[in-house]
Amino acid sequence: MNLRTLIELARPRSSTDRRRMALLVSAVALAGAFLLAGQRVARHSATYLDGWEQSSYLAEPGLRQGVVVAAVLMAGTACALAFQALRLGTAARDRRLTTLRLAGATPNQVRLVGAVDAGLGGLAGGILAGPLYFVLAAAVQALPGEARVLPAPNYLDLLAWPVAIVLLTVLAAIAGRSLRRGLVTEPTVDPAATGWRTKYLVIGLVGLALIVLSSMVFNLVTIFAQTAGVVLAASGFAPLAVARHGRRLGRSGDPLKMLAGARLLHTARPVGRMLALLVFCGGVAGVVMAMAVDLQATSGGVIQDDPFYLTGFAFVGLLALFAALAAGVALLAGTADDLLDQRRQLAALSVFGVGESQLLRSVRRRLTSTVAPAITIGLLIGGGLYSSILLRAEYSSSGRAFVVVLVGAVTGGLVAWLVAAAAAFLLRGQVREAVDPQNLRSA
Amino acid sequence: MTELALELIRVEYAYRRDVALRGVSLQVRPGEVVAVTGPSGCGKSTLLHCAAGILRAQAGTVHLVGQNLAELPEADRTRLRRTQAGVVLQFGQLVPDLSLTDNVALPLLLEGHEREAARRAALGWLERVGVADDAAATPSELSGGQNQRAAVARALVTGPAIVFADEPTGSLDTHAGEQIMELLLSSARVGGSALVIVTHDNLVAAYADREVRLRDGVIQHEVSLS
Amino acid sequence: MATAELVLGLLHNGPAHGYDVKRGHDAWFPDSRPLAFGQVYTTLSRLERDGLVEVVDRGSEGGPERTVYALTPQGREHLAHWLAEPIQPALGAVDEMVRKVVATIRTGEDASAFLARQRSSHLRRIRELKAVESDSDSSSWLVRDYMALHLDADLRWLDNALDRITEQKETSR
Repeated sequence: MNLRTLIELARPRSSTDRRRMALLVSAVALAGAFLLAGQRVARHSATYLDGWEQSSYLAEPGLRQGVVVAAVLMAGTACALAFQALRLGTAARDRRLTTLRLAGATPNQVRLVGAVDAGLGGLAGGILAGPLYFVLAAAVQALPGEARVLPAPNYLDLLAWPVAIVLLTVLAAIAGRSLRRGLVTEPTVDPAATGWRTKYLVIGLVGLALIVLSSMVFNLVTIFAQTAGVVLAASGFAPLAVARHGRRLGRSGDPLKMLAGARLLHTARPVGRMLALLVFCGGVAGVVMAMAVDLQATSGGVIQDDPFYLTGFAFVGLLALFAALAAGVALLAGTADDLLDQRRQLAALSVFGVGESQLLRSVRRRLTSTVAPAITIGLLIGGGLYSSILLRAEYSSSGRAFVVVLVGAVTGGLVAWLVAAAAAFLLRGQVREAVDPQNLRSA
Repeated sequence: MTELALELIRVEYAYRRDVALRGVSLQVRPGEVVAVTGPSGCGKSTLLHCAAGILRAQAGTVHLVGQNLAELPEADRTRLRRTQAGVVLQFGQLVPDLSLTDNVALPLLLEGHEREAARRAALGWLERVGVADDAAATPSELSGGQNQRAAVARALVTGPAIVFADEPTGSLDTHAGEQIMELLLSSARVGGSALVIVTHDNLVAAYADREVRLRDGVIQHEVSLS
Repeated sequence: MATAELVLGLLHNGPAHGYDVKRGHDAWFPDSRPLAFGQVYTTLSRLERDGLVEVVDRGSEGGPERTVYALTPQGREHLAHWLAEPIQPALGAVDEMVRKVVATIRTGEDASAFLARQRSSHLRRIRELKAVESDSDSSSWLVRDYMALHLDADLRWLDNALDRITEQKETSR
């Protein structure tokens, strides 16, 4: 198989395929831009002594490391979104790759098609990452002094860009190759579909243990250990909670809840992963919230004017929001994908009166009933953990922080619910297509 | 005079490019079995979709158990369809995430029945169609024939006045197809449901009391077989 | 009609009276015309003359209905040979339908009305064939399936023929 055939086979065909490719390319481009930003900050060496006005986040080496870590984390989030994009369109793509197998392609050739398909997305994303980074850097330069957390780009960035392109292309290709799509010619039950619960339970328990153990000691490590603990616990428990929630909804007498629940139960792992990310974002926001209350109380109102704290909070908040949006987009794309996959079955329900509006309600329930609790829980965990540190340090503000966290969590949950409900509305085109009677014609 | 289970009067339907039905009139008496046959593309499926209210006839009227579908408000129309019409397609009509029991219980739940009662009724039907042992399985774990059996159960669980079947045996082998046909007929007979079968298969059409043959969107002939 | 070979087949499982042979035949083909006693005995005596069956027991009172027949080795061989031989592809009663359709078209009669009548009659016959309850061990369903599928083939031929005729009419117009 020569390269031309490969690219021909990997090229997106349908409008869904093109949408998936667009999402993949955008996510990779974002990841690339964050990576470029990270390397720029890491290369930055100027200090206060240089005398020109710059953000203390760049000037202080300790804080600078934090900015680099944040950039890498954001790149990681964007990569997660890209990975999710790769997994979209499962049924249709699987069928196509399966026909490739039937046409005589070896498993390796099918994997190669997957790798080239993803690699092309990585390449395009990497190429776009450069301009995106320069636009981002230029935009940051326009901000007031303390908020300029990104130094002005320089010629070395032009060298880093091709490196990023190669890196992203290779990473995407490896991910595409590892997806094992279309290699199974028979629709058997995924062997991993049954035993996953225990694995996730163990991961979650390890995370929980880490949180509990780390809050027994109190030093600088605590915060990192707790972060890791929250990540592990969320990744482990979220899919289990989704499955549980799905089962509970599935047992409901309300058929629309039943439909939503059954779908959740069968997509517990991908949905759970995205919810874990939401919980983590909520956690970050919770910490920021509690920290703000704490500073407000201890510094007697100075914080409002302090550009240092404002910048920090604004950026952490923005980054958490970005990650939350990425998770939301992935959830939404996955839901759209489901609707496409199941259109024949859904159209068949129209005889019973499950039409466009009912289906849209079911989709909305799926989104709101998962996203809103995830955000709320995240805010509670983040805010709660920080407040508990305050409590142990015997700061007087801990009580107030708890209250604010509680109010914030409820508000955050409500906002998340509204956003999820609005997002479900975006899917009405897909819902309409899914219930179209045309899907019932047996061609 | 007993009410007709279904009456179509000069029904017309056109897709964007081609006309599928050019004024089709058809009457189905309660408990009657009618086969709608014809070459592919003759409008068979469109006729069935219009009759079942999946598509809205663009001209002409459709009466389901004496009620004019076009004159009813949407909610009543849906309720009428849900309780009075069952549908069996060639394949792929069961929700893949739901167990057979939940799939069959779905119309009852939508009708507002209690969950336990709906599931009991569903189980009873699954037993009648011979897949009670697989009641907890999801469609993807079962064969096409088993899924079609569940589909028959779902179409009949509400005790409809009429069941519409679109190539119900189309993706099955001869033997499984015969079993599904016998099941459809006997199940429809139990509840006194009329049955409209769309098929291109003469051996399936032969089960009917009457054949309605379509060609290019018009009825070519109607013959009694009983 | 391969009555001789069928009688050999009916003796395949062991010696039998002429009466058993008749009964066996009627059980194998319940939908066909029953085999007449006279035909059974003339066939058996012809087979005995040719050395394909032999008499193994004349019974106490004699008489044909008490005589027990069995296959000879040659008879067994003849049966196996007959079973191994494929049937010549041949057209049977279909002829008449072809002739009728050709005549219908040539005389300008309404071909689609003919189709309707023929479909009605064929489908009725298929329906009758399907309606027969088959008992579990009977092989009669084989015969009924054979007939139903042949009727189906007739109908499909008829459909195709009329489709093509309609097309020709439409294009020549």
